[in-house]
Amino acid sequence: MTCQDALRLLYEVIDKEASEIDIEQVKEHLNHCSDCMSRYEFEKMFKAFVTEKSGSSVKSAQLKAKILNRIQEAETDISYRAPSPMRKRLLYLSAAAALVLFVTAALAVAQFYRHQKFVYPFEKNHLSAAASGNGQIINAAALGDIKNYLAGSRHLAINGDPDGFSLVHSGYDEIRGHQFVHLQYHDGENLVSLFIGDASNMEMPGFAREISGNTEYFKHICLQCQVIYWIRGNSIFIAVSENKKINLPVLISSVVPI
Amino acid sequence: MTGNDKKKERFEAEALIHVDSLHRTALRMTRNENEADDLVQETFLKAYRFWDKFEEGSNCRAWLFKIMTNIFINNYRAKSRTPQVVDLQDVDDDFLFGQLAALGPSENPEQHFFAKVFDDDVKRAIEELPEDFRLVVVLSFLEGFSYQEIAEIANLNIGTVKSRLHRGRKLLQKSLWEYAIKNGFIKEAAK
Repeated sequence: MTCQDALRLLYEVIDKEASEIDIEQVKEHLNHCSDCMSRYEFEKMFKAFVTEKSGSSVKSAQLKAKILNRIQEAETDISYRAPSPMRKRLLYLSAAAALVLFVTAALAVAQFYRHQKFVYPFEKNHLSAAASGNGQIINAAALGDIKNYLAGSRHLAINGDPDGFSLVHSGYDEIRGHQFVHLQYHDGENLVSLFIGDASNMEMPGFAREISGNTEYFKHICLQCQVIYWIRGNSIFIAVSENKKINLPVLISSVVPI
Repeated sequence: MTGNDKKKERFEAEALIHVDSLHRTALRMTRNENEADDLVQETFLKAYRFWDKFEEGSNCRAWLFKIMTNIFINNYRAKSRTPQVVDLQDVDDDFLFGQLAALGPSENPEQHFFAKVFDDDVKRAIEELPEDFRLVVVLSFLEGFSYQEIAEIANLNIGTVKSRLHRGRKLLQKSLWEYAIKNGFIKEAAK
């Protein structure tokens, strides 16, 4: 090996990157060449010197604490970005539960508002008539008037009272912007109201369709009352009772055919 | 113990123990205490985020240096970077050795030289190396990485690592020699 070969491999030997064979040959050369040997010694010393003098960082504890802190801070972010499978399942479950709850609540609210808007006015008139009527016929004279009105406005005629009930109130009620005849019957315990009005433009949402024999009516039961309605010709009939056990269709059918 | 606690514990034991080493290199590369701090913190945060991707049993320290080098190259290196042209034509491979030998009959001129140069001078000489050479010199001299490891960390081929290391050595020796002359540690004999 020449000096040139040895010097070419010098750094690789010092950096421990040369192959075994190269190392052996370089060492062999160095043993016989003092010039190359002193150069080798010098370069080796130089590397050690630079390594030693560049020192080491002494602030590791401080830096470590900072890093751990920032990891802690980032942790929340990370778990949001990449939730574990378990966490993911939990997340989906609670999201689904929240959705179900929300929809249920929204439906309940919608139902409440629908009830308030379309059904409650009849209940209110039914209940307030009961309070003012106090079981007595308030305006008997008006009944003939009402019958004339019903006949005149092509509503079906009414035939007497339901079985065991007597008429305790009759009058005209303005409900939901429509004129209604309001008849209320009492059997000593329960009150039943019958509202008769024009069927046009009377929307009654939230009622369930019921079939009894060959008649059809619509039923709605809420907290306070049961309400049914049916339509005959141009007329809408709405019956209300706070006693939910009374069979309203049967009872009312003795007054007007359903 | 939650999964995150276990992850953190492993990260602390396997990665965070290298904080000194990374900080030392970060300091030489950024030449600025604050930037070095930021660079190291960024490196570890990124490493933590990708901790699942780190293959257990492989070289964690080299992995951390690769992350740091990437961040450094992308975010920290001098903004207006022009290609680094370094003219070493007039510098012989044995420049420093030759200069010291020329000092005269003293038995150990290099011992004398090494004893005179301070830590700060060495640090400054390293920091004044052009970035490309500095990175390779630091990874080799200070951190003891092999050529292969440096190639992977700095995304270079081995030949480039070798030549940059070779030239880095020469530049470093020349610069240290000039310090020594300027500060009067050495009376230039071979003028």
